[in-house]
Amino acid sequence: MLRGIPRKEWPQSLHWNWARKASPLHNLLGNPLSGVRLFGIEVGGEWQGLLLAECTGHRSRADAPSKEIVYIEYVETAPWNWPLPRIDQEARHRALGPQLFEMAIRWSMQLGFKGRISLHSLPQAEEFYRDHCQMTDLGLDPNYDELRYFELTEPNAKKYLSRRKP
Amino acid sequence: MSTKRTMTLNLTEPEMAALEELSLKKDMTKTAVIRQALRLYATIDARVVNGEKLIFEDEKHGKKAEVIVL
Repeated sequence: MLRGIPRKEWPQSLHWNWARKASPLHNLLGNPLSGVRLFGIEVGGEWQGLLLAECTGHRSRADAPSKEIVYIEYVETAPWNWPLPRIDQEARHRALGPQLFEMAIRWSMQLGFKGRISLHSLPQAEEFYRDHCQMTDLGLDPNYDELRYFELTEPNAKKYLSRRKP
Repeated sequence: MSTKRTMTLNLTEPEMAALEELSLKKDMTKTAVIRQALRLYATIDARVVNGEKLIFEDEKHGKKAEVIVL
């Protein structure tokens, strides 16, 4: 599918090993008290996008004293939803990322975390989190593959949801 | 979301003080703090029962201590 596209333009999540990502979740996802929640969007019997979030074990780095936060472990859309103009592929379903992101914010609110969200971003997605989601850029994280770490504050979570209201 | 049930919780003064302090510090309601504490306890218990260990690490002083969950 990606033949003819320079490697630097390939989706940076391409190397993700989904079997490895899924195996530690076996015991956690079925438990209603689990601190892990998997969100998905299904259309026509096919999963179009997934987001895995955790509400235990992560704390805000921006707020002091540190507050509870929902951490997005990963968010990904199915390959047929990647817009790849070089091979004339349009996304079958658009705006899945923003919808999944909204689900994570709503979960954070439901937990009493007031919409606070955090994540490490792949370089290709930094602009989306900074500009579209209005997350605070807290810089490169030397303890996490030098990926940039972002947080969504309570006021910006509210703004995000108000922008998405129909 | 699952159906909610109501219960009365009796706490001692120090317990209530700790709950209030956490609620303030974490910017969460007292109910949210208790729910989060329950979630953490259940998560830790499930992992310990599964054979994993809970360890506190002090990187600065190079110390590690296993927390025993009964």
